Amino acid sequence: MKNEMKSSILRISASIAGVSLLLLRASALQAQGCALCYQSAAASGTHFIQALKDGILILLFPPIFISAGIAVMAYRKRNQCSPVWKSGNKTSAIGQRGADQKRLYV
Amino acid sequence: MYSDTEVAESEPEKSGNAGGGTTLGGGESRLPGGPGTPRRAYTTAMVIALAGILMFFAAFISAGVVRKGSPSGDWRSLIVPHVLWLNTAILLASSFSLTRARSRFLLRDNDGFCHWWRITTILGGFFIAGQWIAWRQLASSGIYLATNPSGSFFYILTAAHGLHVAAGLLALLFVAFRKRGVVPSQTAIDVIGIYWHFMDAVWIFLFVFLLAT
Repeated sequence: MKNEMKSSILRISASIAGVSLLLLRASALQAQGCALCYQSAAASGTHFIQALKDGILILLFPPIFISAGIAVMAYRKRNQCSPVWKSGNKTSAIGQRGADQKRLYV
Repeated sequence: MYSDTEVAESEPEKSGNAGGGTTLGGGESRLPGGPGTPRRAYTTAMVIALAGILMFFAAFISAGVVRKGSPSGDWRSLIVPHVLWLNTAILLASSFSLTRARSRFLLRDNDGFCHWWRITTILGGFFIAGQWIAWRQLASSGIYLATNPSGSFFYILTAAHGLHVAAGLLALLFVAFRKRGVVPSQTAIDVIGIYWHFMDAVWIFLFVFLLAT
């Protein structure tokens, strides 16, 4: 039990360290790929620029919401396996799938 | 292919039923319309469809916000017809009655289920009729699809949402007018419920957007 807790803490710490390193190495990027769009947006005044920013922000929320939903669902079902596995058969569905893949690739 | 009892034996309670609740027949039922397809596949398909619908409406709202801030300055704020408040209340009431219908279904009270399901269907019809009245009111005050960008967005957003509600209404009617004595599957009720509540939530967002612009 203690070992499990230790290893999970280690895993989380390693993940945080990895993400922090990635963030530290991040460099500024020019998001405006199209010069025409950039110039057109820059020349249209602060009111329109603010409207563009708001529009982009509105488009940002649904994908975040959807991704969060998928992540939560994946986390909640992380230990769920097929009925064949649960019923106690020696060859689990996952094991069988692995064997099938081996047959495909070897 | 599995039968109901086989699946229920192998996986009694935790059958990945995203809609929740218990079933009339046991764990993970297989629908007659899709042999071998588990219930969670229908729920997942509905959630994926709703993700697409969410992006569709988000794109429209985003376009509306950007168009409003356009340098042309031709956006004239629209006075939303008052009947939309009533329509919102009707849609919220239909969500409530659908929840009641589902709870009666889980209690195996067929009469109560039919009663609340019919109320939901009627309220859905009233909502569509109310939207039609709102369009007529706007048209009578001289605001048509091409009059002003705000009017265009009003008509397009309400029509797109109305079409989605009409699709939900068809599903409600399909269950309401099933053959006498046939018990509807819980999957159908769950999936329709998810869709209907989602349309309710989308309407609230659209209504707030229409009021704000």
